[in-house]
Amino acid sequence: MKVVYNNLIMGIKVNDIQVADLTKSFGNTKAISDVFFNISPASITGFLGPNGAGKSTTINILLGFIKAAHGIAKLSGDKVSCNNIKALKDVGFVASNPTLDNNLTVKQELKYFAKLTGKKIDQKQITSLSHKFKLDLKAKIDNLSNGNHQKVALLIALLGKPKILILDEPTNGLDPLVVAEFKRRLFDLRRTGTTVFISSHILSDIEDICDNFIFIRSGKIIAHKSKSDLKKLSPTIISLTSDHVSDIIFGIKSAYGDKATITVPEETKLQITLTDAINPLLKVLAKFTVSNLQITSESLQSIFMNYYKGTETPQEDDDIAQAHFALAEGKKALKSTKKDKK
Amino acid sequence: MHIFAKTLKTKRLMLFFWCFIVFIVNLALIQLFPSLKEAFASLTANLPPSLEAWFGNGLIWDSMKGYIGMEIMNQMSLVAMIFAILFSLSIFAKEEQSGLMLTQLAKPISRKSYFWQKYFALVFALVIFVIVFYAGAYAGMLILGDTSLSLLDLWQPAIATFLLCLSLSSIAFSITAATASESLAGFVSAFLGIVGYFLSSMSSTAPVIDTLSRFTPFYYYNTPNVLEQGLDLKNILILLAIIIIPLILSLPIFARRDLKTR
Repeated sequence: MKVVYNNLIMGIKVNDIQVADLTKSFGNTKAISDVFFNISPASITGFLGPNGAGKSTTINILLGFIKAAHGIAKLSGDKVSCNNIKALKDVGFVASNPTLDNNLTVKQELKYFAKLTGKKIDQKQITSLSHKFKLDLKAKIDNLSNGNHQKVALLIALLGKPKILILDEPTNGLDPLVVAEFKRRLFDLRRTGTTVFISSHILSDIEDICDNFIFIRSGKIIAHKSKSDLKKLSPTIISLTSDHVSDIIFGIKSAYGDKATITVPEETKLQITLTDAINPLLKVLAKFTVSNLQITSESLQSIFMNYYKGTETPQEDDDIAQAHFALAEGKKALKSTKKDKK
Repeated sequence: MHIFAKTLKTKRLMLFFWCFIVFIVNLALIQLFPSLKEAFASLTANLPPSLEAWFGNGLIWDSMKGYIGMEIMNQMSLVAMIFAILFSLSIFAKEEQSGLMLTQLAKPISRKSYFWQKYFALVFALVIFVIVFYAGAYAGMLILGDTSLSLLDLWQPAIATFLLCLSLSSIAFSITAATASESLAGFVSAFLGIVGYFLSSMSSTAPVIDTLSRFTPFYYYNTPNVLEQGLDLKNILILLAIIIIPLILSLPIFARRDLKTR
C-alpha cells in the first residue's frame, strides 16, 4: 500500500485508475470520505454500493465534473481536475440514463463526439461499431428505445478506443437481452486491454463479468476484493445422512479444527459449514457409508447483502487500516519533503 | 469549433422561427406607416411630454426615420431582447440541466473552450437575427416604395440592437455559467431588459425614473436617438462593458465550479 501511495504521489504509472484519500461534502452532508483504491489495467472492476453510497460522487470526481475537498484521483497517471483534459484523453464514460442530443441522428451524434475526442476516427470505425451494436445510423436519437439510447452512449464512450471505460450504472432500465449483449462487449473490451470501472447497486447485473469488486457504503470503502477472494468468503454447506455420525465428526474435527461448524439435526443427519477447501472433508467421508449428500454454497449475493446491510466486518478492515496507515505515512513523507525543500 | 457548429445546427429551427417572425412583423409594421402617419401626426402634435414618451411626438410620426426609431427600434426591441435571453438560456443552461453538458465534457474538451464556443454561437445567432430584423423593416420600405432610408442607414440601429441583445444575453449566459441556475439567469436578464424598456420609455416623465433607467442596458441603447444622431461612442463603450465584465467574472467560476450532475 505504501508503495502504491508513494507512486501515486510521485506520478509513477502503476494503475489505470488511482484514487487516494478522496473526500467530498455537499453542504453538511459528507458524500464520500477518504476513498482509496487502485485499479489495474485490463480488468473489470465493479463498484458496488446501495443508492446514495457515494458511487456517482466518486465517478464525478474521477471525470473532473466536481472537485474533491481533498485527495487525489488519477487516470492513466494524469491527475484529474476540472480543466486537465489530458486525463480524459483516453477515457470513455457512460452515465446512468445518459443524455444525448435528441435533434440529431445516431450518425450525426457519433460523428460529433468523434470530433470531440480529438483523435482521427474514420467512418469505418463508426460503421463497424454501430453494426456490432445493431444500431440504425439513420435513426433519430429521439426515436430510440432506452436500450438503443444506452447503446449509443456506449458507442460514444468507445470512440477513439479508450484505455479506460467508466460506466455509472449503465444497465439501468435495460432489458435482459440488452444487458447480456452489453456484458459481451465489456468482455471483448477487457480482452483488448481496456480497463473497465463499472458502478452498480445491483450485484446480479455485474457479478459475472467483474474480476474485482469495490464496496462502498455511506461514503466509505468497506471492501476491495477479487472475485476469487469473495468466493473464498462464501461458506460451503454440506448435509448428509450416515450411521457413522460420531466417527465423521471426529474426522472433520481432526481435518479442520475450528474451521468447520457442525450441527446434528437428527441422530443420523449431519450439517457441516465450511469456509475452507472441501477436499479434506471428502477424504473423511470416503471412509464411511454416506447417503443424501448435498453440497451447497452461499451465493455471492448473500455476501453482498452483508456488506450492504453493514453486518460484515470486512477485510477489509485490515486492508483499509493499512491503506489509511499508508496514506498517513505518504502525507508525512510529502510534508517532510516540502520542509526539506524549504 | 465543433461545439460552436453543433450548437448552431441544433438551434437552427429556433433561430429560423424567431427570424421568420421578426421579419414578417417588421415588414408588416412598416406597411402600417402611411395610415398611422396621418392619424398619429395630428393626434400626437399637442401631447404633453409625459405622454410623448409613450406615443411619440408629431415629428416622429411624420417621417419613416422617426417611425422606424419608434416602432422597430424601440417597440420591437422587446421581442429581440426576449429572443436573445431565451437563446442564451437554451444553449447553456438547458444543456447543463439535461446532463448533455456532462456527456460532452467527459471528452477531452476544456471548460473554457466549451464556454467560448457556446458564447460565440450565441454571438453568431444574434448577428443573423439582427440582420433579419432590419431586413424585414427594409423589405417593408421597399414594398411601400419608400426610399427615404437606405440599407446603409440601418447599420447603426442594427449595431445598437445587436449590442443591446448581446448585453442582456451575456448577463444571462454569465449567470448560468457561474451558478448553473437557469431561473436566476432568466429572472435577472429579463428584469433588466423589461424594466429597462419601461423605465427608458418613461424616463422623460420624471427625473427619478431617468436616474433609475441608467442602471439598465436599455438606457444606453437608443438615447440619444441612433437614427437621428448616429451611434454614441460612450453608449457603445458602456454596452461593451456590460457585455464583457460578466463574461470575465463568470469564466473562471465556470472553469472551477462543480457541474450539475443530476
